[in-house]
Amino acid sequence: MSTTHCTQLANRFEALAAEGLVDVKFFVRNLDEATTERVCSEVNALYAALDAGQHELLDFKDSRRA
Amino acid sequence: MTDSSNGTTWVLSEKFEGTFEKVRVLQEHVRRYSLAPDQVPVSIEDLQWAIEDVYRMKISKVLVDFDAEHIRGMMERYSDGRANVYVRSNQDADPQQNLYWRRFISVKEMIHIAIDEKDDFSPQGSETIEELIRNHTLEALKPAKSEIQSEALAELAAFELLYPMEFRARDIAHSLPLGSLAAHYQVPNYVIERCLEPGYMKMARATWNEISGHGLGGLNSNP
Repeated sequence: MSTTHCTQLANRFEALAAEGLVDVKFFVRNLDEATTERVCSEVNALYAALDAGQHELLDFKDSRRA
Repeated sequence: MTDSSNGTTWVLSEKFEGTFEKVRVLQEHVRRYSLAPDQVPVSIEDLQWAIEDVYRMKISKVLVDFDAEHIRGMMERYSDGRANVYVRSNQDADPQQNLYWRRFISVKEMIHIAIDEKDDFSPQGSETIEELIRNHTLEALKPAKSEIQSEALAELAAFELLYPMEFRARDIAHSLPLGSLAAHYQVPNYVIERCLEPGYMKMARATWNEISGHGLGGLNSNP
C-alpha cells in the first residue's frame, strides 16, 4: 500500500493496535463505486472529526428494560 | 440495488446458521428483561445492553460529524473489553430516514461484537478496506473472504434483529406499502426492500426453521 491516505490510516491503526485495538470493521456503501484511497480518506476524515471534537454520544433513549 | 454493499456475497451456510443462532440468543435475552418484549420498533439501547451483557463488552456509540460518500460507520474492538461504534451524522436528507439509518448502522456495527470470531479479527483496517473493495463481488463458486463474509453476516443479523421474521411474514400477507413499513419498524427503506425479497425470505425462513428459532417453513415454502 503506497498511497498517502491509506498509509496515513495504516499508521493510525498501528498506533491504536499498540493501545489494544484487536479488530476494526467498516460499513461502506456502494462498494462498486468506491476506491481504496477514497474510503481511506473518508475514515481519516472520521478520525479528524473525532480529534476535533465534532462528535457526541449516540443514545436513542428507547430502552424498555425493567 | 445501488446501496447494497454485500447483496451478492456468498456466505458459508454454517456461518449463516451460526449468525442466526446468535441473533436468537440476543432476541431472547432482550425479551427476558424487557417490559414490552414484542413491541416495535426494536429498542437499540436494549439490543446494546444485551450484546454487552452476553459478550461482556462495553460499547460506546458515537455520532460523528464528517462528510463522506461511502463510509456510513465503523467499529473498533479493544482487548480490554471496550468497543467503539462510530456513526456518521448525515446519512440521508430526509430526517426520518436519517434516524432510521443511524439505527440500522448502530446495530450492524454493534453486532460484529457478537458474530465475529477471533479468526475474523484484524486491527489492520487499511488492509481490510482494500480487501472489501477488491473482493466484494462474487467470484465463481468461491466463498467470500473473511472480511466480506463478516460484513454480509452483520448486515443480515441487523435485518433479522430490526425487522424480525414473524413480522415480515405477517406484513407480506397484508401487502403493506414500503414507506409505512419503514416508519413502523424505523428502518431505512433499503432494509424493508432487502428483507422482503423472495430469495432472502426463503433463505431466512429455512435457516430459522433449521435452528428451531422462529422458523416458519423450509426452502420450498412460499416467501
